[in-house]
Amino acid sequence: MSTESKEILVGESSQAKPEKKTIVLMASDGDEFVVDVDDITNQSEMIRNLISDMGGTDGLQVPLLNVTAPVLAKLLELFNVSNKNDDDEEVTQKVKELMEAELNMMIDVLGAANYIEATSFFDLSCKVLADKFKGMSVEEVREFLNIECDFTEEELQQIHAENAWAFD
Amino acid sequence: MADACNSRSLSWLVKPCRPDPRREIIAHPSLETVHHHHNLRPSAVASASAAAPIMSLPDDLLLECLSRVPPSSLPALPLVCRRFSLLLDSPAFLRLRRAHGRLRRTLHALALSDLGLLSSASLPVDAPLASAWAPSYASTVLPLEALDGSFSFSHARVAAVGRSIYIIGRGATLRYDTWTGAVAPRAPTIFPRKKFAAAAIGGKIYVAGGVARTSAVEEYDPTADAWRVVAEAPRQRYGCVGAVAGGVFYIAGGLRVGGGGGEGGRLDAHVCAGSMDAYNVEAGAWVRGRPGAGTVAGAAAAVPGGGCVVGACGTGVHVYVVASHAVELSFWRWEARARRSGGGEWARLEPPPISARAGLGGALRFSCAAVGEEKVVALVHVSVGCGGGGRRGSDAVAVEGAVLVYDIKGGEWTRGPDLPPRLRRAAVACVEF
Repeated sequence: MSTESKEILVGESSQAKPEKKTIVLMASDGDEFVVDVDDITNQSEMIRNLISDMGGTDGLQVPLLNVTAPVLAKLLELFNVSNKNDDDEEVTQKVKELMEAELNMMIDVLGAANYIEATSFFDLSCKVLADKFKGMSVEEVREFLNIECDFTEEELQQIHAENAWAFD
Repeated sequence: MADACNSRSLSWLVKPCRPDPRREIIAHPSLETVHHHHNLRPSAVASASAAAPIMSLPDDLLLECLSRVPPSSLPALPLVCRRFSLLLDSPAFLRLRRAHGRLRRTLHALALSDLGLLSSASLPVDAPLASAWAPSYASTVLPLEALDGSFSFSHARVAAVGRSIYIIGRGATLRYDTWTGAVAPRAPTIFPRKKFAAAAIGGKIYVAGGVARTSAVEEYDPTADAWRVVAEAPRQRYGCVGAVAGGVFYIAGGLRVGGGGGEGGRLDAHVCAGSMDAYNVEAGAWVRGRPGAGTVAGAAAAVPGGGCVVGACGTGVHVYVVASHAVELSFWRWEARARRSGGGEWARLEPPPISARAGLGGALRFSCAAVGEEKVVALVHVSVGCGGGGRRGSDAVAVEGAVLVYDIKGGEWTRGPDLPPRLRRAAVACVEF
């Protein structure tokens, strides 16, 4: 496989202590990420199951077909925040910031979290996104998510008629 | 060794496709149904707005986000785009919301006058019970010209499908959107009916009875906005009530009309009063009771003690039935036996705290709705001009618009907040979201 691999510091001083076990996650574009076993299994149910299925972590390389390197890097960065904090406040804040700054990346991260079954992180991210809709009008939701209205003119008229009728 | 490694890696690569029990809740059939009906594959929709990253999420992930939206934000979402609308209408949406503990239940009372005035009020029914009904929306006058032909909403039946409540009258149907208050005309039943049985199962509505010239059971598909006849009932009932339990549509009580040969139209009050016919929707077959179990041959069951069924609703595998006797009311739970051969058990429960005498000389009318598997709500009316008079004070509960709540686990009735007076003769339905 690839000879060079990126060291991503997941958890504290993962490279300093030789007894810490690591595995390699491989992004879809071939980039490798060395992660601390405890830190990743703390988040990802799938990797936890995988390790127990494989009977150990020795030389384990996990190719993540659907996850690109930038997304995986971001996801691991957020896992790191989550692992360092006992409550979800800090990581929720980081996910919020990501959503405001780069919605596309946030949604990719959400998809990746689902892919590796990072259940509680996925829950948290979904909730951040869902809470964003609070108080938004239809138009504002469309604008925020960059969604085009795909109702036909007729359907729109009908929607307006039905609602005007009720609110009149 | 390398081979073994590879094969093991491979087995993991398919792993994400293996159903995760939690995800399986939003299983594909329902979503496929949604898309099938509209001929809209998610991919087709996604390509329409490829610029939106959220549209690249598969249905189940998008639903995971949508199902976590706070209730106050929900009404806007179906109007965002077609895909949102379809997803929010899917049964998977409700299942997910339930799985996340976000499901809230609201009782809606709807009253519709023949002049086209719709009044509605809602009552959150998750414990603790709210202390008063909130007017959902201002009373709305329906543009009657939108409805064709002759119709009547007196004795209309209501049935909830998803967030919509269908108000089914004689010759006209309306859909009331509990999120937005929007009201829209929908296809009327094929045969005009009055005082019929209606109930919703698996996103479809079934009606039976209330018409003399046919014994047809009709099924309504909200997606297609179309009724079709699915079965012929063993007898024609008028003034019956409907309930659903364990995938079976129960048609209970009422008078026998028409049919029978030679004596068409003759009414015999004792023939059907306490009996129930049961139609297994999935099997498309009538469930027959044990011989001698009912007063009517072929009926699935009959309320013990010869009462007349005046109200019914179902939840889980149980049907709850309010029966009226000469001077008292009784309350029963029916549980059908799992076996196909029919039969089942009645259990007598604490009767609702109302004397049948309250309606003496008139009729007590009930509209019942189940709230999850925890409560049964009975809304009680007395026909206008009856029940008042000299008997005031003789009964603890004044009945017009009284809301009685039966706690299934505790086995006790409590009195809920009365309906506002403007909601005369309302019917109730419970909506979850």
